[in-house]
Amino acid sequence: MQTIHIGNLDNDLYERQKRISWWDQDKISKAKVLIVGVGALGNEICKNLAQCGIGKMFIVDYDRIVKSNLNRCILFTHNDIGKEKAKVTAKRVMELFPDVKAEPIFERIEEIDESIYQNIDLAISGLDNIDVRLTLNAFCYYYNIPLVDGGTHGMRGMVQVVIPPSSACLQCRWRSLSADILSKKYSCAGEVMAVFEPKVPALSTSTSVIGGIQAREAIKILQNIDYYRKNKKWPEGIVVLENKYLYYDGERNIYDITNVSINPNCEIHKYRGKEICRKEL
Amino acid sequence: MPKRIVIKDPSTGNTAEMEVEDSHLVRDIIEEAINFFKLERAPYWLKKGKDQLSPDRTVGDAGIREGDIVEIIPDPTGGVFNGKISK
Repeated sequence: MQTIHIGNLDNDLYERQKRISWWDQDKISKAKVLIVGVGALGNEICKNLAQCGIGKMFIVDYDRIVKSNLNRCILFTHNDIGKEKAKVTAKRVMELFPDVKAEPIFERIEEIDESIYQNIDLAISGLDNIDVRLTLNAFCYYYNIPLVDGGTHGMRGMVQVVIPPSSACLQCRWRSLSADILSKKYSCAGEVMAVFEPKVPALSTSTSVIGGIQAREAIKILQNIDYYRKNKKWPEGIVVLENKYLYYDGERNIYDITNVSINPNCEIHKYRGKEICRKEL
Repeated sequence: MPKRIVIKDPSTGNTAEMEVEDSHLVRDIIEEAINFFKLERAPYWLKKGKDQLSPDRTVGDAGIREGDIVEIIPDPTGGVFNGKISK
């Protein structure tokens, strides 16, 4: 006698997420995402996107693994110390999730082949400094690529989404700060001065929260960007952190969203990004 | 005509009154608040109601009015933009 199975619910890797009403696994499986920076945040982002079955990841990082990374980076092991972060992340992602393709890029973001921007659907930053974020922001704006930025500091964190050209970008928020940094690297006499960059506090719980939100925003954008571009709005019920700034404070259990607007002096909005990237950053 | 506003550090609850002119920039308020509250040298932004105020806007353009309460909020970037500078 033949047994009748009512579906094979537990044999489909993505069966549970497909139960989300608007989920389109096909879109996720075809999506190509650039992840810049695979420290604590980048590890969480890669893990989350891989678990969702993202099609391809380009993983950019010009750094090597040190022991102090290990308590926040789920994809690294003690045997990986000294190895390239990008390479180890890509290898581990493909070991754990064979459906996902991951390509490591051991280069600075300013130096990667620009053709990559014509081959991706979205970029996510897991960076630890403002200057590099502004460079990525400029390239994404120029190539019309949605960018999901996130950052942490101890038990605090933030997430902001940039959908070029309509939304406020990272330069809108930081343009004056960036000028401050650049000017402070030099004395009045033009003498180059060293900038002391202390290590900032970091905690795995904060990077889990922020990396999780970043990956979630990426998924929402990838699934709904076609609708957004056609209708100039997100589908009903979907709110993306575009023109918004999510602030998280784990010490006080605060999860606050504020509105951000385009800075009228923002060079990126005036000159479309890449030229600024080349000349100013 | 100067306006008196209240600047608040929500992480401690500390507040201070600040006198500002329409021509002052939002980033000037941030800088003064960092110094007054002796905050860590790191990026911050100002929040008024549900809005983030652009640092390049003037007090007048940002719509800051007499008696407004603005909050100074850290901008967690996972790094540092201007730590101590030394030769």
